[in-house]
Amino acid sequence: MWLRRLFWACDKMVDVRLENVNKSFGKVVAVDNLNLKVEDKEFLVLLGPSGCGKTTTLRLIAGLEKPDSGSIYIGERLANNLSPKERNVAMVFQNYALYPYMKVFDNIAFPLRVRNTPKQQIESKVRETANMVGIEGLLERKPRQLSGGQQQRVALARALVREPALFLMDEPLSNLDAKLRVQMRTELKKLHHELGVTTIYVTHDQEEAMTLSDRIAIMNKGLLYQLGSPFDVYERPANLFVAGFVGSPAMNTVEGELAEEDGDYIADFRICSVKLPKEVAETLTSKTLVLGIRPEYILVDEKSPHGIVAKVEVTEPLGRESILLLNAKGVLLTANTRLMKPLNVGDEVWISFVENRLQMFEKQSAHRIDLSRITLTNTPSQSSS
Amino acid sequence: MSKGAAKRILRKTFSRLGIYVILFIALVWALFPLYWIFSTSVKPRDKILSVPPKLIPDQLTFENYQRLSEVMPFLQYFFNSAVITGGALALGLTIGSLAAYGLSRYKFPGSRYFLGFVIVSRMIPYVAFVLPIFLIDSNLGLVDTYFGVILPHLIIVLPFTIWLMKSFFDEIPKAFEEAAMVDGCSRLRAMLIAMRLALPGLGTTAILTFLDSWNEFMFALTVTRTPASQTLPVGIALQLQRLYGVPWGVITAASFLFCIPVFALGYFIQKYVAKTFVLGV
Repeated sequence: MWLRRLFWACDKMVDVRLENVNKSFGKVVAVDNLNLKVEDKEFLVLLGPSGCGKTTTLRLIAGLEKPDSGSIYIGERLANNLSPKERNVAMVFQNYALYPYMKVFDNIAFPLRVRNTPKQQIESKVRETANMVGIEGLLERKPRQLSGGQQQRVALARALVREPALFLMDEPLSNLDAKLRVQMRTELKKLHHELGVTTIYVTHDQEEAMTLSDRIAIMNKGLLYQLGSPFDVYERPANLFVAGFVGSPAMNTVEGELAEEDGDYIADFRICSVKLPKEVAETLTSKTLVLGIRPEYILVDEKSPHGIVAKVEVTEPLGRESILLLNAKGVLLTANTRLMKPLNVGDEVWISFVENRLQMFEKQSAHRIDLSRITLTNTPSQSSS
Repeated sequence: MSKGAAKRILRKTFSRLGIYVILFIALVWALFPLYWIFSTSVKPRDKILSVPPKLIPDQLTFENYQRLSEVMPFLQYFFNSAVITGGALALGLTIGSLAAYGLSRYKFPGSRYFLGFVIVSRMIPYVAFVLPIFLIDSNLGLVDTYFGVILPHLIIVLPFTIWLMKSFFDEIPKAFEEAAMVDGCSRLRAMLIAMRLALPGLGTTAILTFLDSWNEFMFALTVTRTPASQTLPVGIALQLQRLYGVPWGVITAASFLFCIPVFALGYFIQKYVAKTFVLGV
């Protein structure tokens, strides 16, 4: 493929390793003992709320910040003491950072000029790259004459043009409108697929993270909470934070107490009871547990005799599906469901849960309890009837 | 038209008229001395001190301009002023911008108070510096040299340059320099990107610095001895020391010519300077 030939970086193994990396700003710990390995050609997304340390991590890799301790390897090289220009990384900034006094052509050519690339080569490379991101007609314009989406493409072209070993992207789509964001997301994914350059991408938008990434690193308060595939972080969240942060609407969480009955360990969550294997129950440090139910794993049926009765408190029809706020035995649950006919506030419905999709966490440590399959013993409504 | 509407229009017209009257008075107040200098400079020698003074000269002559070089080494003074102002401008902007950049981008112990200290130093009456500067110049053998005048001018221009340029640098996102560094620039070259972005600010600062140095009189008078280094304000003032026959016509002609660079600059940059002050920088 001509794109692969164009970019020598594709033929180089470039993985990134962060080993026990710490970074503080005054008393604020931005990155706390971070260990992370980004595989060669991988698209890794750093996801987390504002102030979680994801941008600092990216800046540490770019060389724009120095770690207080720990090691950062880019490929086989220890990069701690390398300046940004020695790291051969390219970065796309949130506000694009296009030089306003330069034309688009000069903006893209800048990294090549800094490296004293021959003029003819600059000309051809800039045009090739502009062509690749679809801005070949804008080369003579100044950044202020471009729309947000076009500026974003210029920033991308400037990063692509010098064939970096590693792409770093700091919320590059956050300034675009929703429609353009979705379009650029697809293009970024396609571009990564074609070039195969290792990419680290920072965002607080979980949808972006889920769609773009090979793996997601979820951070909070400077700590890495979970590193895994989009499927893993969604279906097997490592802790309550990840469970609550990933997914929209957020996962329902219901607290319950674990009790031993006739040698069986049963956790009662009011809306259902769950039987825990003895070997799991005995390892728990506290008896308060949290049941996690994704809104789409609540099955809503008007007439089903199985499950429990819930009252509709709020309905949010979204067209194809509806978000329902349900009250089941005093527990508020959000359900995401496809309904055949519209429901009204005050209606009563039967709800049940997709058993093998339920999650359970220890409340005290917030960690996920690893159960290969959760067993619902009964539901209170059934036992009471 | 209703009565209320007519009243409103009348009130608006009067308030606008009032503003124009105030502006006109302010304009006359500011420009009259300048006009007086010009009108005196084009009057014949025997009509300059006529009583009552004439606002509009009966007769126009450029003899005062022609006699400039006979009465004093005008071109030498003008050249000295240009060299000294140019030197103060170049050094002031270079040192000031670098200091401002450092203050804007780096934190160091006491950096928070440093800018306050810089601004306070601008508020100290310059006369307090006259003796120390004279002693420094004397000991370094700088009396009656260009650099001997440039040095005290830096005391005047630097605090202002640092303060103003820091405000401009603060407005420029760091991401531009960071992008440049990632793109392959050294720290120093990335700084030049910020400098380039601060160019409008640098222009405004340059003009205000120019005015400070061009108009300065006290230090120039103290540390110069001969026309080899004396600036135009000093040269003009020296003509007033004559016991007999102060050449008013020549003095006003020289003063008017001295003002021309200031007018020219003012005309070209008024928009930027106004913007700078409106922005509260």
